[in-house]
Amino acid sequence: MNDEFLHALRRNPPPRFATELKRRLDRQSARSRRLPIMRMMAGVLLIGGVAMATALLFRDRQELPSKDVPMAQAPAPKAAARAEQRTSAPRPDGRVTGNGSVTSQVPADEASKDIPVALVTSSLAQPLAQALLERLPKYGYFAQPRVATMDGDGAFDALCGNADLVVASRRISDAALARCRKWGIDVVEWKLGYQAVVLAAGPASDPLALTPRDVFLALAQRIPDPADPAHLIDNPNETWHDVDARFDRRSIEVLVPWEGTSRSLFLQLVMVPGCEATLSRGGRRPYAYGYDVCRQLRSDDHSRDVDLGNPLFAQVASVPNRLVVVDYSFYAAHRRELGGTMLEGPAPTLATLTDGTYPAARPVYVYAQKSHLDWNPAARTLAFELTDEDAVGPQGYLLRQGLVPLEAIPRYMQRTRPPLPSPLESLQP
Amino acid sequence: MHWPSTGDADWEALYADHLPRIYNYFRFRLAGEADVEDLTARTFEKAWSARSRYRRDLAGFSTWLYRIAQNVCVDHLRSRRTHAPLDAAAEVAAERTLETDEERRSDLTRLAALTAALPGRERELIALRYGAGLSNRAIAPLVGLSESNVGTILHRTVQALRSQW
Repeated sequence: MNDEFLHALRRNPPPRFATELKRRLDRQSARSRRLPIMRMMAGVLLIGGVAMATALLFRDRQELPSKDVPMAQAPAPKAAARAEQRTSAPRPDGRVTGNGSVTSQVPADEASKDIPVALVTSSLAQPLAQALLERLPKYGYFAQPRVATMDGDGAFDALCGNADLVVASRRISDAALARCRKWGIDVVEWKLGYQAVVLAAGPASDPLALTPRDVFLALAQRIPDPADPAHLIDNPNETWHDVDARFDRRSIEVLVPWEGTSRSLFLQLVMVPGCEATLSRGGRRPYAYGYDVCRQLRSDDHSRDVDLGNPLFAQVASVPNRLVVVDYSFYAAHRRELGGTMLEGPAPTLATLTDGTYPAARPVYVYAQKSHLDWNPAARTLAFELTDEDAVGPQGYLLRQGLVPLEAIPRYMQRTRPPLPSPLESLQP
Repeated sequence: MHWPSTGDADWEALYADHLPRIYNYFRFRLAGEADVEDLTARTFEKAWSARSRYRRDLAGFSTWLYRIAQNVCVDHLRSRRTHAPLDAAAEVAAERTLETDEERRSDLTRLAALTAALPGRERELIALRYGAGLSNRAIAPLVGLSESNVGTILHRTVQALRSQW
């Protein structure tokens, strides 16, 4: 290959450097041999200290009655205060957290604040990631974050590479986790909540049980020609009966938000699965039919882009059997004004979102390289933000980006565990 | 002294074999910067302190070691990225035009000038192939490419460098 000029550039390291490094490694080795002895000594000191503290506590308690101090006025044991402190995640600014206790301050090296946080997000979780990053300046100056949007395994590959944090709309796979562990990378995981979308109707509407395929065939701009499925034609379906003979002849009329998270969720969680179910037949991949074929909605009266505001309920109620796409939080807050879901399967509730049986929902996970959290203050600040009630609680700012919070108990457990979770060993719960 | 997780392998031999490779990897990757010795030392110290986590069933020893070197290199490049004031840019440019004769002669400096325009992936491949002296097969898992892809990209890159050498 005529590459001798490159081979010729190799040099041996200076002998002085090689010798000195060898000596340092030997010293490190000797230190590591001394470590068990030092650990044992530290353990003895710790046990001795605890024993002494217990003895002092007992002595205090024995002295209290003799001084006639009412028990109600007795000072609270320090151990309880420490336990209270442990239940709160420390925050970068050392401020009061959700349950009211003041916590320790995370040391943030001013110089290392110039290191930008590298965040990778799936397209679905992008608004959540953006909202999290917008909080960073509130904790002081940090370098401009670097954000990349990747779907599929790309985001998890980046986690095993140079990304500090990954926000994903699904859990990491066994293979991706094994790949990271193979390179000696410890991965930590948080579950933020869920993203879900509901295809609802007015309360007077007759129920439908639509599959994602039915929705695709009703709303896509172009669908396969029934006479020649290899070719696409402009969507001719006027009624739900045209889509599938099991439905009645009511007109197709769906209101879809013209932008925002609800629209993205609807396209990703309903239209794309429906498109894949329809177009993947015969061994062809959907994108062989053209870019964006799964995401392009028809632009006639059967699918109308609307701005979802207050007149929404009037719009839905005015025409029987008109459907509307809303995110789960909106649906949960206005369940009475809206009818049930029109998608096949269980109704959207926090329970069906949690157990994964509601089809148009995804969990949201955040992953980080543990070692990066140690040296990158911006990544560490974001990690603490992930368990903050201001972010993920029932009134958290991430709810405005379509996040459905976890149930109270798992949220509480996540908040009260150690400030940074342990590295994932496997995906077993 | 033995490297515990590598079974009976002799640490002395591993150290002697890999030190020049890691050293040259950083020389090629960073074009002979002064930090090369520091980064080489950091790589070996990290590997030594993390030796208990190395698993023979998951990766070869050299793959594991070069992954650590890659991470050290990326961390270094990231931390080195400072925001110099605009005035400094003029000074840097002036310094470059006044290269010393010694620098002009340095082949590594020539290589750095040639590879500066290459994407990071190609620079990484050159460093792993010619700095660390790894085979295409050993490089493939380190960069997430197939062996034949590594070969093709390297061939094109070397041809391009050769034509300008």
